[in-house]
Amino acid sequence: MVLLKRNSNELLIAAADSIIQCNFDKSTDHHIKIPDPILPDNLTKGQIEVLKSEVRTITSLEFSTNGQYTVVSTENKQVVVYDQHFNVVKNFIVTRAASKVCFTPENDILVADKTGDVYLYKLSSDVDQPVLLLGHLSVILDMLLSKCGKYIITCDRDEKIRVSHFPNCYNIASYCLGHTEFVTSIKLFDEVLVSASGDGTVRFWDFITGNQLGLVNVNEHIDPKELSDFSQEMDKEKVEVSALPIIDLQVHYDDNSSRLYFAVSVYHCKSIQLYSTDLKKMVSCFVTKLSVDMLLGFSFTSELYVLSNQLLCFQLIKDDFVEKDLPLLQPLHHKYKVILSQASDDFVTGLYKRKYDNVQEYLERKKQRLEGNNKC
Amino acid sequence: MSLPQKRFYRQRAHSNPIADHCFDYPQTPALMDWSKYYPEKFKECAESPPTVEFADIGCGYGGLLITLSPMFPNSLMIGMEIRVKVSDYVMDRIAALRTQNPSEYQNIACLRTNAMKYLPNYFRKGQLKKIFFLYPDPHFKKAKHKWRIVNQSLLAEYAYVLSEGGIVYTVTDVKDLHEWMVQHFEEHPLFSRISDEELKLDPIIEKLYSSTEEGQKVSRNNGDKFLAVFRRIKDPLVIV
Repeated sequence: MVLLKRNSNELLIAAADSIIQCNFDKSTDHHIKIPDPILPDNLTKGQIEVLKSEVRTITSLEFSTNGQYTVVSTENKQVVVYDQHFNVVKNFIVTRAASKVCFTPENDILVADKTGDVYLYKLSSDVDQPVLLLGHLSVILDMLLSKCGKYIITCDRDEKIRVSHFPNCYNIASYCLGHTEFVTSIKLFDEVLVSASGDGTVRFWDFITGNQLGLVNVNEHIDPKELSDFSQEMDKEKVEVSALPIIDLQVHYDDNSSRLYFAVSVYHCKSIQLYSTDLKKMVSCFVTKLSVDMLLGFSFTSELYVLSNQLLCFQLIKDDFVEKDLPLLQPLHHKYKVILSQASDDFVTGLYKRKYDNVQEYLERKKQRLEGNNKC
Repeated sequence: MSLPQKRFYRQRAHSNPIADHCFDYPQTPALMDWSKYYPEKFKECAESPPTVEFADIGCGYGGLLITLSPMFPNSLMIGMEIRVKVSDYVMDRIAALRTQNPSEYQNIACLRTNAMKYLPNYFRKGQLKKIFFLYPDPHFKKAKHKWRIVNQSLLAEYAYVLSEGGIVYTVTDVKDLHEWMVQHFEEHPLFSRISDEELKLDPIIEKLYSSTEEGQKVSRNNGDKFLAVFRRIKDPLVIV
């Protein structure tokens, strides 16, 4: 997947080990490559080899609240903080590969890693002594801080969304439970949390109490053949799937209609589905579906940017996506073709659990034992 | 119905809590049907069904549950055990005790689950009054310390399912593990250790040493037993 992020007058595209920065005001584009890691002294030769050889694919990219900083995490355990002009402010190695990074309101950095831990790194201090804030028992797939800054919300491969107080994360406010597969993405609008999962549903939550407020099954708007193809593919790995997983979720609140729009992309499907929700009544309806030749990633704010076999921009007019001609975008795809073609495959199939059943076998043997006793 | 024989249910003492075992668990606490675990108790008060208040995590062969059952006849207790055969033994044992002693042992039950992963699926916030960790797997190797049932991250979950004032009991015969547990509970802002003085007033304490199968084994071997008890306290951090 390729990450597309909109920040005031910019669009950032993160693919492989590169960030492409498109500035709409100046009509300029820049290519930023992840810098070499700064290796701490105490590493063994083996570790250095590993850190250097691994691909620096970007796993996550976020902006600070004031837009001053950008932070990225990579597959090779690097975290890099940039200022507005993409000068490197901080470049450090984390103990375990980060799945998600974001900023606190104080511009400190939260790093969620693949073993399920969240660490806090101070931006200001030179000493990289991170503080362990909380831990899940499986990889954290998404993380965000509430607008008020008092809650940190994390979701994992174990169907769980955990809401912890911040900075006192040892105190759990609630769990938002109900998803039946890994939770891929969470977004927040005011007090309403929106989540997307491998179970093919988008759910709405009162995150303070953990109560589920609404549910949308986005599999209702896909071709059943897509699901059966995916089922067959996963059958080979002995995983039973009942829905196509949601890969990405993005939300945008429309002031005019007072509705929350949310866009999702679903694994295997070359389309983006758009829904809108009346937050007072908690009723959602399907708005439209945009089909493309291929789908590498998208960004949905007031406009929709889609990375397909070209870079496209759409505006939502009367609940329909209308293509907008942006002269800056057209040559970009060609110019950065090499980078964009390195986009990694979606990791999603690896998130399903390969369960092994040791109960049936035991019960069978017990039954035989008891029956044997009766015969005696 | 006769009591189950332990020789058919023996299983090695270790289980990997991170692996994807097969478990049935409720999606949310509201979806958990406790009535099949405590059928008589639910018949008695169908109007306002009781809730589980005690959890014995890693209950082993169920000795503690059976000891506590008559001491707290009005509290529902659940033993949680990850090992297939051991949990099955406890279920069979409770079923046999119930048939042999009608109207007794109706407040205890056992289920097979991974308590490290699924506690919030079973219990609402603040639902539990007592949690027991008796003779937990010490996981001696440093690389396996994260498998220990007591660690910094999991303490937040235990604090979540416990009500304020709720109590955690820990006993082990491994000094190193005892020190580990004490250190982690004492460092956690939502727990405070209960003094030995105060523990003298708690009738459960003496049972902790003798009631479980692990405890009896340690006694037979003249081993040490280390006890530490903690109270769930209010979050000391007040944010203005």
